[in-house]
Amino acid sequence: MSDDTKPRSVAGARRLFDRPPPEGYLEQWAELLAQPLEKKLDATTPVVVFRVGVEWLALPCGAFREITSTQPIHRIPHREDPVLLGIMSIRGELHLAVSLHALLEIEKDTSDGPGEACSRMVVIEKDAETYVAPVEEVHGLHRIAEGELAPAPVTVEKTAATHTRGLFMIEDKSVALLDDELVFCNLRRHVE
Amino acid sequence: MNGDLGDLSMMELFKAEIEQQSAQLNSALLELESDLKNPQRIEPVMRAAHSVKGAARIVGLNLLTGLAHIMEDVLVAAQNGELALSEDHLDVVFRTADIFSQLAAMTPEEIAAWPERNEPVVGQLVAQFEGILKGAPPEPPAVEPSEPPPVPPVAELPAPKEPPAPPTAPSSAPRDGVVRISADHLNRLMSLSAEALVQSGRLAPMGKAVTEHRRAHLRMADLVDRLQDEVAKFPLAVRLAELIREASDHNDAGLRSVTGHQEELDSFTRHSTLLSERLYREVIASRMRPFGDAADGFRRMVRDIARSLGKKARLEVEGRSTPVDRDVLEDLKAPLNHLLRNALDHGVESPEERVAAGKPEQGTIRIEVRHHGGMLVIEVTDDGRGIDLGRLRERVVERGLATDEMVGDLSDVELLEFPFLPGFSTASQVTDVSGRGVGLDVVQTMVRDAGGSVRLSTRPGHGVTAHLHLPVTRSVLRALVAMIDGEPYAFPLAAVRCCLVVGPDDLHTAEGRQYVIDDGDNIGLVSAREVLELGPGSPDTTEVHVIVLGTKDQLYGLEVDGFLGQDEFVIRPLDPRLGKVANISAAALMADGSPVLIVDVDDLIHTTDAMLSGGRVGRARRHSGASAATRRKTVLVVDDSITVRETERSLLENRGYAVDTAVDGVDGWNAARLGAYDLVISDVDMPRMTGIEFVKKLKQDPRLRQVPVMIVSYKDREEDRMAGLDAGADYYLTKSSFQDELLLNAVVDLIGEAGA
Repeated sequence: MSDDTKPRSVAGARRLFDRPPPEGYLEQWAELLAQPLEKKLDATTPVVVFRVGVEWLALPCGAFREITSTQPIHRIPHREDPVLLGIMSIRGELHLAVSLHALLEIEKDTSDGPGEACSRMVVIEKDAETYVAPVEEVHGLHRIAEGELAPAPVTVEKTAATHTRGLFMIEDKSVALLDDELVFCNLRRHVE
Repeated sequence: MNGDLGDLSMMELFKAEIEQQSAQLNSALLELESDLKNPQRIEPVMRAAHSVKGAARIVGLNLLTGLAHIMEDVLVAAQNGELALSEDHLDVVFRTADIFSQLAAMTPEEIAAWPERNEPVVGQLVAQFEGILKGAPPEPPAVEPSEPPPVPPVAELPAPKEPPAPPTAPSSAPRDGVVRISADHLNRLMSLSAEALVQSGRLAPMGKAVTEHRRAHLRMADLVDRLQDEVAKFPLAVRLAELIREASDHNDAGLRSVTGHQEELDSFTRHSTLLSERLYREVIASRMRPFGDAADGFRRMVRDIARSLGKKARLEVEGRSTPVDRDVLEDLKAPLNHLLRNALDHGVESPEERVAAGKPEQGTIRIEVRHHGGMLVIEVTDDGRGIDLGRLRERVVERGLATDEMVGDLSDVELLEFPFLPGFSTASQVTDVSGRGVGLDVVQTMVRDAGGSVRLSTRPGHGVTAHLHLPVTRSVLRALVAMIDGEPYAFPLAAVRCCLVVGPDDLHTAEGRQYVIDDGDNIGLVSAREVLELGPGSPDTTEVHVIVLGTKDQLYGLEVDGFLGQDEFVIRPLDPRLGKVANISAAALMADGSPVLIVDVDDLIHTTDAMLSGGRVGRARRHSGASAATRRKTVLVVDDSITVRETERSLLENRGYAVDTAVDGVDGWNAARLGAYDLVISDVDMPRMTGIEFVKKLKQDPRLRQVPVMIVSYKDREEDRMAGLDAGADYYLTKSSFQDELLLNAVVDLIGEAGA
């Protein structure tokens, strides 16, 4: 039975597969195949992932000017806002140093021993406004697609959550992508 | 008759010349008209006439030459004060200018035909000019032969030598190739060059390390030599000798290489340091202007004031080219002005008195400017009567500033500090020029503000000298660095009286306050940590480090952790985002590149004073204010018009609400997410994000959707209302009605009273 049907099915299959494509079919597919790849490229945003306290955070790559080693910070007298750490010099230029820990109300990671936990400074900049903030660790560059972003938990009444645009995963870490506009706006409010 | 071609190009040159001159003539005439009495305004008009005359002569337009010539004569006469220009006179000049303009618009052929056709018109103008020169009617007799003219036409002093008719307008040529550069750029250049200097300072230690390295190699070589000697005693140890020789070779190669590197590094260090230093000096020098720039106005001022006082005086300026920072130069003008007035009023005597004293009739005031010891030194000396020290002593006693006995003990230098006290005037008579009791103390305040000091010296009968010491630039500051709560702070040397290091036994206590006694003065002690609101506690040293600040009548001792020494700092402005920081004026970098804050000593004294007399009022108030704010309901006002924002703010605040503001939708959206607001009031038409979008965003946000929103807009059509309410607004108010109670009523309806 199978011997009988085989040639017929082969021929039938051939006919089926070799039939001329309907009008516009190829173009349609060509378009379809061309589309999503391009779309996906558009939708990925390069972000820099770093750690503040025990929280993994990310900001758009464009907001980073540089990452540098720890430098001495000079406090500003009469200013008690914990977000404003003081002024510091990077290659002769004075910058405002701020605490993302205080801004986002995240506790310093003291597991590696007290004091020396923050080993890096990130220089972030938006609309010609620059701040320097000590962070515990910089993971590096990562590309995320818009679809990867899960909404920030609404119920959590944490300051960090307010500043979060969404969450994404790197390996087993959950990373909060910060709303850069809000972060800079809030920093400004604390510094003034 | 050298051919048409030559004539033609000459004619074109003439045309270009007269075109340019008539344009300048017209604008100069307009300026002259508005300021007829000013001889300086006549100058450009005359120059234009002169140029036209010359050009006309070259092309053989004799008619025009004559016209320009007589016009020039009239102007020269006016300039020399032989003739007072009236508006009628100017009319004639204006008409002549019109003729120049007409000529400028003609073709060469037309110009060639011009004299024939215009002889009568020109003749008429020439006649009018001649009339003016003869003092003819059209104007009322304006010459007053009595007093010398109110404003002298030209200075009697060696007049500025100006060429009578420069070929081109002097204003169009840049004088010394000045370029504009933004202050931001300059500041950044300054930062970078200072940093380059700091970085090059790190090379020297590296050089030392290499030297150390080389020494190690030398010691090694020595050791290997000794080893070779030792091993030579054992002729059988061939293999050992070989190895040692090999080691020696390696070491020698290393030594050679290190030596080479060391030389290279040394030379590089020298070059780099030199280069950075020159770069740094050069950048600082780019802020400098010659002192003469400020002095130009003074000469005339001295002359005019002397005249108004019935005295004769002239000003000599020495060191005009001395470079001074442009900011300092600006700060100098007012105090110098004051000192010159003082010198003229109180110093220089009347001509009769001077002659009687055997001095020349005309007094001389000298300004001498030079750099000395890194400071700018300015001395203003008059050759007047000087200060009578005996009379000054009496005056000090009269005013109850010191007892007879004390005054007797004062040195001349100390005595001459008294005229700087507020309200202390030695003038027996108040005049318009100076001596209103606001004399030298004002000068002193101004000079201090510029970071400098001023003192007087006198040779009775021979004049007074005011000595001003100022920083050459305000970009560089000499300061004493002290540690306060583990961080460096710089105190400008000009403001520091002295430093003390005292033991615990030298501390005295009175009325619960500590003080030290230095040179007979009681100096109240204040902890710098406390004044600056830094960490509590004091350093664990037995010695107390004190910086003495203030003036002789009121001294303060600021207790710091320790002194780091003095240094020169390039001043950087504080980040403008910080706003005004109390007690701090600027920032700078230490030699190691770390930041240091520069203390605003005057402000610090104020704070200290307030602390000593009233406790820390400011702090207490701030805290109570903060706690009150937490109880009040808070409203966010979003509007791009500052007027509306502020009106709404004051309305709401009067009712007891706390108010935050935002300038547009985006700003409002950020603010709303960051703060906990009881109510948001928004405009509709705003840049970046409209009120409708803003309200939609709020109402879509799970955390913010329950916050009531009110729209206040100029749009009062029904569809606008609907758009607002559709977006999610809880209330829609038109701006025409927000001034009355409607706004407040609506707010109370939505969220209740402020304090509930």
